[in-house]
Amino acid sequence: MTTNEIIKLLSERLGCSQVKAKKTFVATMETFKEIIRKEDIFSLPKYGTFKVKKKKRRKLFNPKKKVYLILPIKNVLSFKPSNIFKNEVKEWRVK
Amino acid sequence: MNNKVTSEEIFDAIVEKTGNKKVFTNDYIHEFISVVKEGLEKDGKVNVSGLGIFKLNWVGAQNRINPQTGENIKIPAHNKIHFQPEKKMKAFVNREYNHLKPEEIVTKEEKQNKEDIIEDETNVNGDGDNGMPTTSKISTEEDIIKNETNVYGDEDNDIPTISNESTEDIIAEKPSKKFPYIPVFGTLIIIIILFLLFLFFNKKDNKPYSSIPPKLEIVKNKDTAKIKKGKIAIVKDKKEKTGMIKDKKEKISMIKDKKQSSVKKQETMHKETSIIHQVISGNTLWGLANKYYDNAPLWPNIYRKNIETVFNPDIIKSGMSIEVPNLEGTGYNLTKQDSFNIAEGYYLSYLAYKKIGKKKASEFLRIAKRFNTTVEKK
Repeated sequence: MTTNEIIKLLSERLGCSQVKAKKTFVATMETFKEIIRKEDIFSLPKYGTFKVKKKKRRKLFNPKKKVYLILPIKNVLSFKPSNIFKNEVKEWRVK
Repeated sequence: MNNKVTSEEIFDAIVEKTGNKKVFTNDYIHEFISVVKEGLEKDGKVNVSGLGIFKLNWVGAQNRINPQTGENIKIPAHNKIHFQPEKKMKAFVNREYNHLKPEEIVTKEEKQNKEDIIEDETNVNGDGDNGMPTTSKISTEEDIIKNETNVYGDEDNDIPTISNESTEDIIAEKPSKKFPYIPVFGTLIIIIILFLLFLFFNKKDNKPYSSIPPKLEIVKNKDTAKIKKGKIAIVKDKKEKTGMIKDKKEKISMIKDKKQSSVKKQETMHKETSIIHQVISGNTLWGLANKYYDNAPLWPNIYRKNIETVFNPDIIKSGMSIEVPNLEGTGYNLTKQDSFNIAEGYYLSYLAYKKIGKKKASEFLRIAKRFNTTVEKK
């Protein structure tokens, strides 16, 4: 499913125009970004939490080239689904 | 502690941006979540532009053991949610460390290990060639061994006294004992010869090294003597008491003069480029070095550039602009000039800490010497 399909469905269900639905969609994504910049964590009810995790610097060995690598520090965005969402998903049968 | 952002705060922020009613935005987000769930149920994949891709992964059934009780547990097959952020989102989250890239390291230990492995393999093959054929002959061709047993029996007079059944075992062991002695003695003799050769060469090599340091000491003594002559007017008793301390200071001044002369020469050759960083609350020199060089102990390199503005290296005020000089190499592979600069930075930080009266000031001088010596060896 793509974003355009999501916006179409939302406009049908809420009874508003597609332009309005798209504007609010863009605004929500911008607010998510701003929250990540300030707090590094936010959650949506009955869906899950988004969190910025820090990964330490670490050493790797490439067995083909026989060379050691040092990977630098990294920040990664992770998503942890809530328990309700997790249990709902378990028994679905996708094609 | 980071307090979680509540859902109401998110709704309020959206209301401010769009100008819609609060009820509408509340419904909108709940519908949005339900739509994403339906999409996952239909296709197993939803692409939300601005966040990323949500995916379903099918995990097969698994058997596990409870370590406390030892029971078998069956985990049934189920779906799992996987989230992959967009490229833009990844770069935004990792905006502090985007300029850092993975580095290759080739150490001396690796080269030695490679050589050792090759040597071990050759040794193993040598033993295998000597040991294996004897056993294979005994196992496959029994008639030939019987003939050989007679030959050995004629040669050794002691063996025939033992009964015929036991001779086969003894003779089977004997040839395996004879062969390994020859290579072992040969290698021992070669090693001893090599050691003797190394001793001869080392004696010749040590002479030039031993001749250099006395010259340096003489030069230092001359200089110190000159300085002392100038200061004879001062009372002599005080000199005797504080002689040790003054010698240290003079040595430090010598090192400083040398460094300044060398640094000036190098600066004419290579001009340093630098980035300007504006300080936010919570920044330290240690943190800046970790951010730009990926190696925090190189912070004196930044302090070196900002002596006029920063008096105490422990304290930076927010709103200042600090020059961060670029390294020629990377944080782990320093060039000669980098280690010179860092040694100078450690020396300057030593002086600054001494003015304030910090107890551990002398450690910085020790580290400065370490950086300086590595340059001379290279």
